[in-house]
Amino acid sequence: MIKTLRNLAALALLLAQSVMAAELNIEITQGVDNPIPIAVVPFSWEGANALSEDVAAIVAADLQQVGEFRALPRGNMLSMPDEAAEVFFRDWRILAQDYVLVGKISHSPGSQLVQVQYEFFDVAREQKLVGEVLTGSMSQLRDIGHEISNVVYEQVTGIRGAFSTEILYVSAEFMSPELTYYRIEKSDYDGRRSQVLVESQEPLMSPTWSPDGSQVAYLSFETNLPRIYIQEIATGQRRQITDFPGINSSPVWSPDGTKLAMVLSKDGSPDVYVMDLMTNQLTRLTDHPRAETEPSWSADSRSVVFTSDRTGQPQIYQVGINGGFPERLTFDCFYCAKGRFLPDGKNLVHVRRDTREDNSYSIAIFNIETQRLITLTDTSLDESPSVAPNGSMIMFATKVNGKGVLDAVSIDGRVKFRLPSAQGDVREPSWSPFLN
Amino acid sequence: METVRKRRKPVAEINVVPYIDVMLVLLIVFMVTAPLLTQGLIVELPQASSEPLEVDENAETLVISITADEQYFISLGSTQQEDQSAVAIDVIGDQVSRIVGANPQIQVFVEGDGQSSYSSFISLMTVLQAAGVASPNLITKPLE
Amino acid sequence: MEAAALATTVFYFDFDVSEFMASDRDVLAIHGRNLAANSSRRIRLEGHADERGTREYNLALGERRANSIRDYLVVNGASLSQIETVSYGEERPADTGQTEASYRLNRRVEIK
Repeated sequence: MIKTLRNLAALALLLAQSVMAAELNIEITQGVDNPIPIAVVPFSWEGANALSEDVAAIVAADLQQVGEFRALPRGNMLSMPDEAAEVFFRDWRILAQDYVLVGKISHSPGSQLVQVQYEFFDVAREQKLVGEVLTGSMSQLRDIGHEISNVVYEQVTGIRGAFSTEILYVSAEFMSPELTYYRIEKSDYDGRRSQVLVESQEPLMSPTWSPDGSQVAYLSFETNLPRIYIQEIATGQRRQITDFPGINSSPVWSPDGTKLAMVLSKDGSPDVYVMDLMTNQLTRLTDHPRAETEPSWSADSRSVVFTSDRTGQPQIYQVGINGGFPERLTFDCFYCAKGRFLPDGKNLVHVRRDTREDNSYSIAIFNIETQRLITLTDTSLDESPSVAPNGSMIMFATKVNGKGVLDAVSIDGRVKFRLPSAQGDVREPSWSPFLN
Repeated sequence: METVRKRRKPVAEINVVPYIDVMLVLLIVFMVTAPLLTQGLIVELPQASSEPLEVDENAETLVISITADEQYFISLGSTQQEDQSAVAIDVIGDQVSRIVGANPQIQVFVEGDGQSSYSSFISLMTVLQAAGVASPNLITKPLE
Repeated sequence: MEAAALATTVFYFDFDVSEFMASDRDVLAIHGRNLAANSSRRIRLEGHADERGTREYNLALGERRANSIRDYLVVNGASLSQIETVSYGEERPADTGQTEASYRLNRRVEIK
């Protein structure tokens, strides 16, 4: 009987063959364990001299980095089409590819600019999904590559791509026991094109973006005391925001950009305050003799999540923007800190040490409604999680062989990548908002 | 102690297995010969009484043909008939190894004209083996 | 005795503990009395933590350690106005290793 059933199934498959061909590969994004095969064909270039950037390689790297895609190695391509007329879908099906991206780069008539024409195809449906021409200067080819990655990513996953975003981070370069250079740097999300925004021989900490991406707030010890500064990224112009006795730390912009949450210990112990950036008026959110620190805003700006060790060990709490009694969010961990909600307002990303004995700090996500806990990382000194603006990945700092590095992990824990290591120690990544 | 005994009823059901098997054979033969028609090549397949191959109809297959005048064709590139042209055997080897590298599950079919020489067939098999296709499927025409 | 005590300017702490060790009590008392006797003397207490745990929480931990020593100096006669406290958290390790021995050296308060 089993044989009969199998034969029947095969029969049905054969009979339905022509009908199914049209529907087979519509929702491939479900296959979480199998990356989506995509062929990113090298873009042709009409110029005589080689381009400084390989746009197709940038796109392929972007897509592979986030883990949902696997790019076909160029050595396996049967042809290198640069426009629709040269794309033979059968060939790409034989190569088991679901999508094909082709493009050509040419001089923009009458200017120093170049134009990049790209077309993106669904192989199973033999259909062009999108195609457009982007124009820019030679030095913007990398930006154009990231922009194409955004479009491809969104076409396939339905989620806005975050490939045009940037990160802030702190680097420390140890010169001698008396001299260490601390820097706040800014780079593309993948660590490329880094530039120094602030340099000091005293520690720098906690760089964070303004919601419009134009300013950075950070902590500097340049006066030998921790004080908060705000700096205009484009001009480098900066101003000192706080000069209260004790700790001034952990600046975080409210989502609407009008306020800065921070930690001040001027009244005896660290507590969370909110400063109105128009009036410089302070509102105190917590009042407790133990340490309250690491504030982060809820998406609606109406509450703040913070770390407190009022029960002995650090745990995560939430308090309304008008103060009041804080609600404790985490219980079953020895050390839970640096909490921040994903855009859904339910999943809390945090740094976690489960028990006193395990002595290991990981990045984890705790759903405060379902109580479901996912531990994302398995290195032991993980901290400073920062979520990509599309909510797909978390960047964090960890130590590898005694050296600080920046890692990223997808929010399901499936994908991880490490940023190319820079000079010295790097730490405290802060992922920018969408910048375009 | 209570025992429960199942009662068997006589099975009143037609055994459809043989009919389905026959239909499957017909369908698979039709399917395997179908690319031949679209290819537009004149290949007189030798006849043989062999078991039909299991073909995964959802996956694209690769067909390499040897014509009576010993030319090789591969089912790549344009599917337009007027664009079909003979391909050098080392190019076929290169193409197949790229394909196998990207798609190890690819099903490769070889269809040789009955009039083509044994040596051209062996050359192709050698190239395919080197490219990583251990056992290509040979297409024959069923006995008439 | 007193000179040796005043030469001791680094005090170590147990993991996740912000109170100084009982064994340092006598030395700190001498520091406190010395400040009381020299009212023009100013000191700075720099609190530090090891690298485990989050940076901003460690800033709080370093301050609490500095404050624990400050309070004891005041109990022994020093004036609050003579003492400035600052926490560097885990930003200025005395030893960059990842062993318990390194961490022990980093959990400290320095009198400057």
